[in-house]
Amino acid sequence: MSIEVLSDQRIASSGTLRFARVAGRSSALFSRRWMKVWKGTAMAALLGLSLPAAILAIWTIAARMELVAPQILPMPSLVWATTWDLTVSGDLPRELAVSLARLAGGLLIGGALGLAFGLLFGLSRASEAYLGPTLRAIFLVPSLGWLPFFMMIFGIGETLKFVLIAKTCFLPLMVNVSGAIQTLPAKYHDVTRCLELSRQERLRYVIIPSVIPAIAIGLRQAIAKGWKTLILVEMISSAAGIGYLMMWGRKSFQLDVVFATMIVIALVGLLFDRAVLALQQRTADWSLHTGG
Amino acid sequence: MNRITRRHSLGALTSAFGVLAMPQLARAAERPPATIRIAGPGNAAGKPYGNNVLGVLRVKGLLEEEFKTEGVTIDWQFPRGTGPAINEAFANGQLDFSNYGGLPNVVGRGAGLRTRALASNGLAPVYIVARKGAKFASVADLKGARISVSRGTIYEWSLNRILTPAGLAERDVQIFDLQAADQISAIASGDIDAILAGNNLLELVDRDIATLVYSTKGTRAPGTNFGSFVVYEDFARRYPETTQRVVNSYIRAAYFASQEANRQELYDIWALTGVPRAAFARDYDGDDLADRHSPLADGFYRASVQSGIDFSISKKLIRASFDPTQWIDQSFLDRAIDTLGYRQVWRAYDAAGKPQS
Repeated sequence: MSIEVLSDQRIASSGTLRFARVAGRSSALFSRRWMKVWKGTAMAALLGLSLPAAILAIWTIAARMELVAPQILPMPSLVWATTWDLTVSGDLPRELAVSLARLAGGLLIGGALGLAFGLLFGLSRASEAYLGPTLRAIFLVPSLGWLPFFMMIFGIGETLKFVLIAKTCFLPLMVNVSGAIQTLPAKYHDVTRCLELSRQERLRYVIIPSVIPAIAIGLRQAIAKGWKTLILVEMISSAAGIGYLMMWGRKSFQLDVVFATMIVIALVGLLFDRAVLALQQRTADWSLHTGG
Repeated sequence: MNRITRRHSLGALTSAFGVLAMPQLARAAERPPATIRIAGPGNAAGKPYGNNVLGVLRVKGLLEEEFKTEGVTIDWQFPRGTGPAINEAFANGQLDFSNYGGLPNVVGRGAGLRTRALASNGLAPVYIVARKGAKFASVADLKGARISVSRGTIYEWSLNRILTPAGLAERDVQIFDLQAADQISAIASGDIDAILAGNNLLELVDRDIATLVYSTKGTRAPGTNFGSFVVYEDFARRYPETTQRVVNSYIRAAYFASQEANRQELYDIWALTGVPRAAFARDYDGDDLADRHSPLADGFYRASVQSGIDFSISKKLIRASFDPTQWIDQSFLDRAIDTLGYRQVWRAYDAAGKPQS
């Protein structure tokens, strides 16, 4: 695969190591490429920031003119000051750490189970026929619908949060992985047959590498959904976490705290999304599935 | 910090407005607005209906009767989000009057909401119940316990006031902010050890789900629930006569709720909220109805408001203090009591909870 066919974005996102390797070939190419990459990134950042800047401007004007009561729409400067105070005082990092630990735990459990069932359903049509419809039905009922029932079983402690996030993270991985296996191009099966690969070899050398992009896609969806669910659960039944801080802000009529947590939740969510997207693009590169 | 000064100046500005804003009765008869919007805390469970004096005011249709000839619609709102939601409604200009808890009263005003307190809600006992099998003989035993309290409501203040004399602080217990329905399943499953709230908890005791640990019933012990009947300042300034008529109706309802002869009927009225009648009977048993529903802005009420302000400042619920005497406008209440001839109905109490001579 030549360098030229890689998009700028691909180079930008696939890490410095590879970039250095490529760049080492020619310094002239390096500077030209680098400029192009830099320009592309700067342009993308500029475009991405233009809408938030516009929103900020409208927000400032609306707050300054008190088009909405200041208790409901605080000034951006107040929100910034509050965000800063909450960060310095350690409240925000502490609650965020609680939330991230919950997300990690839930993702680990739910993601692993989703992956396992995805592989199972992908490889065995019979198991999909037996379990698939029931599992899908269970998971298609929103987490909020399950909440009262789960509370009875798991209580209101940490287990409940892990269970709900795990439940949310399960489906994206299961669906993506089983789907990827089921739609594997026929040529892969031909190769397996030609080489007379054993069942284990087939799994290790063909199936798993080919579904890695699907795992990355599933992971990306799982994190996005899990993060949203976590915030909701923390708003309903919790004594800690960023969602709790948000609810506390609302109940104590401090909308600046609510806005501060909203911004943090959005930024953290975006950060996750970008990180997993980078991973996804990287896996797409070396996977047989999409790279072939 | 600039936001403190900003809020402070906002508060000072609104206070200054407030002094100017409460005019005497306008000379010419004013035309009331087409709709008067009035709110009370929605019930945790059951049907949203009015509690206490507000429930009587609604059932008896006193406001509807008062404004019948002018065709004024009375818009009753009982948000489930209780006090915090009522503050939001005031901020959004969706409310004219409300009868709600002392802590959200203070938090709303402290955040710059232009409300004025017209009368006291009277007082109500606070209860702490524990899960079956929990061994809490006193408040001091609650150290380390998992307690459910609805945050941002009067009960958050009550918890602080009750824990303090027992040598405890909020950090000595684990606070869960649960909704009422979740509280019940959580205490039944043993996920929380105790709940602090009002008379709706007595139902849990009656159903043998929980046991009573502590209450302020029959006393004026720290943490006893207080609240205010408030008006939005802009409304009172624009419609002083209407405001007076609303206060008059409210005081008539308070009078009805203060008469021993009405006790059984009152239980029936409050049972419309979905809290069982038996819980009210137990909550009010042996209590002087006039003391429970006194609208007087007496020393005890003022001390409670001040305590709410001090608490809110210390917990950073509000960033700037305000003067309760600037916030409480007793003039409408005084006129109503004089007009209706109710001077002898209620007894005033001082800051320490002793009857004033």
